[in-house]
Order: sequence, then structure tokens, then C-alpha cells
Amino acid sequence: MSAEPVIEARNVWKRYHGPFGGDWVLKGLNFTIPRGISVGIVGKNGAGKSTLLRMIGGMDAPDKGEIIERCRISWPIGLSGGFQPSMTGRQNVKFVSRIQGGNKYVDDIIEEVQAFAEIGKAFDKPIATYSSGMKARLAFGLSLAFDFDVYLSDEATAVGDVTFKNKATQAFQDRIGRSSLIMVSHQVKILRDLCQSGIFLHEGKAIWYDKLDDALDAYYESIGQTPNYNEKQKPGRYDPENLIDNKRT
Amino acid sequence: MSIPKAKPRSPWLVTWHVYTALFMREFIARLTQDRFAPVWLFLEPILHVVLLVAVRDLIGRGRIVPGAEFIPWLVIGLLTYFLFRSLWNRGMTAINGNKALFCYRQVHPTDTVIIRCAMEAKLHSVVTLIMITVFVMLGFDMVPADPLGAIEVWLAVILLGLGMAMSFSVLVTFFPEAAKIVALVSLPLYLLSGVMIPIQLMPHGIQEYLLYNPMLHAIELIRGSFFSTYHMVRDVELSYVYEWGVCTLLLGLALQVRYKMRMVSS
Repeated sequence: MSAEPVIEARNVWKRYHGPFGGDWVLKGLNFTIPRGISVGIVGKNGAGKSTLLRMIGGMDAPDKGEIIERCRISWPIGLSGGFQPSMTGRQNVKFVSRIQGGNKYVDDIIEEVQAFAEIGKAFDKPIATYSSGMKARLAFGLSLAFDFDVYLSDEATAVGDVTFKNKATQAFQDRIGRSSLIMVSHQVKILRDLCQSGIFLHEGKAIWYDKLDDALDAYYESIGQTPNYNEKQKPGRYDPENLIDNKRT
Repeated sequence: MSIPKAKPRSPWLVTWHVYTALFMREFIARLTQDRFAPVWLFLEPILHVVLLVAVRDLIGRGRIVPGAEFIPWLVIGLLTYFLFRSLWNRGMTAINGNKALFCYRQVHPTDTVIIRCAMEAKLHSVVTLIMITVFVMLGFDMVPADPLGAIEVWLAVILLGLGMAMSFSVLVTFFPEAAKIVALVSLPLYLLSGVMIPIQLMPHGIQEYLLYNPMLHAIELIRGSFFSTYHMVRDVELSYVYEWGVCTLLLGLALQVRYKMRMVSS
């Protein structure tokens, strides 16, 4: 862990201006994310998880406070946005490669994305014809083709099938130490596979946990549920082995 | 990882990469948006000319324009007006049309307006050159008397169109109603810019007010540089067109800077 955190939020406030006024969604977040640590963001629907991710990705600005970034950050990989629906997967990949400065490597990048996404002939079909899983595969593969220090993922893994999830996990395990991931997800298993630490967003505040399991504990406590887990067999309460839900599937 | 670790790029280089990428993308989108698009680029001005000539013959007004042949006079005016109109209308919608791209932080809303205008300007310049060549080969007197002057006016119209697009793109993003007003205004503007009716034939008192419209200046001036004997409307000035262009462009850029984040996040 280097001394200087890669992402630092200083007193970040954010509200949404609707036609009927708006309430504060984030009320003064303070946290730092150290280099090389993958973080899972958990919280209720509407707690501001995606908003926070968009602000880290530079797509939105806080109303007060600031987010300091000291690394190359990917765009938020989500289900919506980023692709022009009327254009083919190949055209979209080419476009992104070019704006990322990969003009000379467009062919290599296309090959790599194709290999990761494994969507076959659909690669040359318009994005509008894709299923959400195919979009997620393409978006994930595309961002992995570039060397970012931090990748942002907004539920992009939720729609993927098992092979895709394994691939994504593998890809991030390959780059441990080089890149990290900040992800929003409601799926305990993938969070545990990919992240070490957690941020729990609750009532407009962010609480940092060095251990993801503690963040998940706090989250489940706040929604008044205890997750279904057996007595500890393996270390870590959320280990997939211990979760009854996951055992069934 | 097939590509080497990225080096930090200078802001100029990033902008250049974004511009080239956007340009190629816009071109493909524009020319393949429907099967008719490339044909329509040529067909639209020709249809307008045919229609307007027919209408004028029908109402028996004759084809009297002081100092110029009617059809070349009409074609030049139409092409110039179409250049302005498509820069304005298409540039205006560039931000809404490219919303999906703002998740890449390299892409600014301003870039999409600039690139769409640059592309439209290029397309229309090519179309205009081809149309002039065809009309000259058909035997019309359309060789410009003062080509450099014509190019200068053409550039002024591009600047004006870009300025209008820049300002209105912000307006249209926040008030979609503005697009309707633009559509409402463009028909009277078409008539009042002297594309089909020679403004010279109007009383001086009315001309005075019509001359507030910069497109009238531009269209008269470009005709003046094409036909050496043409009597332009009095008091038309190229600097007036440039003033409008620069002012709207600066206003537009100021709006773009002010509302950038709101446009990106909306």
C-alpha cells in the first residue's frame, strides 16, 4: 500500500435538482481509497451508490466538496450508456479505442475485446440488438483492454452468466497489484470474490470498512435482515460455502 | 494486455484523438442513417430549385433578377442557405444525440457540436462544388467571378452556423421546446433571406429591417461574388456576418462552459 491514496473524497455533498426540489442524497462523504485495494460499495437502492460511482468516474460533479483522483480511472462500466445503440459492437469498440489514444492498436484491442466478450457474430450487429448480458460482456471486455489503475463497475456483473463472472474474476486476479476495482453490486458472492474492502452508504454518509465482510454485516443489519448463513465452516461469514442461498444454486 | 502501458497525453493530443474519433463516427452515422441519406444531400437542393422555378413560372412573375440569371442565382442562394440551416439544426441536436458518449470523460459536449458542424460544413462544401460543376456543364453561367470572395462568404456562413448551433445546443438540451421555435423560425428566415424572392424588389423601408438578418447579407454577398454584374441589396456587409458569427460563438462557448457538468450528467 503506497502512502498516497488514489482516490480521496473530501466532504462530498450531492443533491438532485428535480422539478419539485431535491433532497440531499450524499451528505458529506469522507473516505480515502488506497492504491491497489478493490472496494465494494453497498447500500440500499437509492442510497447514492451509482451517483458516487459516476462522480468518481467524472460523469457528474459534487455540489460541495471534492473528489481527488491520482490515477487513471475507467469510465463506469454499466448496463446503460457508453454505446451508441445504432452502431455495431465493432464500431463502438473502435471509437472508444480511438478516444483512449489507442489509434495504432485498434486491431489488437478489437481482437482482445472479441476474445473476452465471446459474443461471436453479434460483434458486427448493432448494439440495439444485444441482450443485457452481451452488453455487459462487451463493456467489460472493452474496459479491460485498457490499462486503467482503477476500474469502475456499476452492476455490470449482475446480468452475466457463470462463465462471464469467472472470466471477470480471473481478469482482476491477474492484475492484482496493478489495478483495482470499485464496484457497486448487490451480489454478495461476486463482491467477496473481487473486493477486499467495503464502503457502506447509509443515510447519506459513507462508512469505510477495511474488511468487506464488516461492510456487508452493517448493510444487512441496516435493512433488518440477517443473511442466511450456516455456522462458520470457513473463515468469513459470507464465504459462498457458508451461504445457504448460494449452496442451493 | 496487447497495448503498452498508456503514457499521459497532452490535452491537445487528447482533444485531437477525440475529434478524429468523433468525426469518423459522425460520418458513418450521417451517411448510413438511412438508405436515402447520400442521395438526399443532392436531391434536396435540386427539388427545391425545380419547385421554386415551377412556382415562379406558374404565378407568371417571370425570371427577373437584376444583373443575374434566375436559376444560377437561385441555386447559389439555396445552397448557402442549406449550409446554414443544416449547421444550425444538426449541430443543435448533437449534444442530445451523443449523450451516451459523455460517460467517457475525454468527450465534452462542445466537441460533439464542433465536430458535427465541421462534418456538415464539409459535406455541404463537397455537394456545392459538385452541383456548381454540374450546372456549369449544363450550360448555366455559374463560374464564380470572384472565387476567393465566395469562399470568404462561405466560411462566414460556416462560422455563423457554428455559433448558432453552439448557443442553441445548450438551450435545446435544457428546453426541448426551443427546437420547435427554431423550426418555426426557419421558414420565415428562408423567405426573408432572399433565397427565392429578390429583396431588391422590396421597398427601401422594409429592406432596412430585413437587413438585420445576417443570412440576407451572406446570401447577397455570395451572389455578388459569383455574378460580376449582380446588383446586391444596398448596405450588405461581410463584417456584419462575421460579427454575428463571433458573438453567437462566444455566447455559445460561455454557455457550454457554464452548463457543461449539467449536460454531461443529465
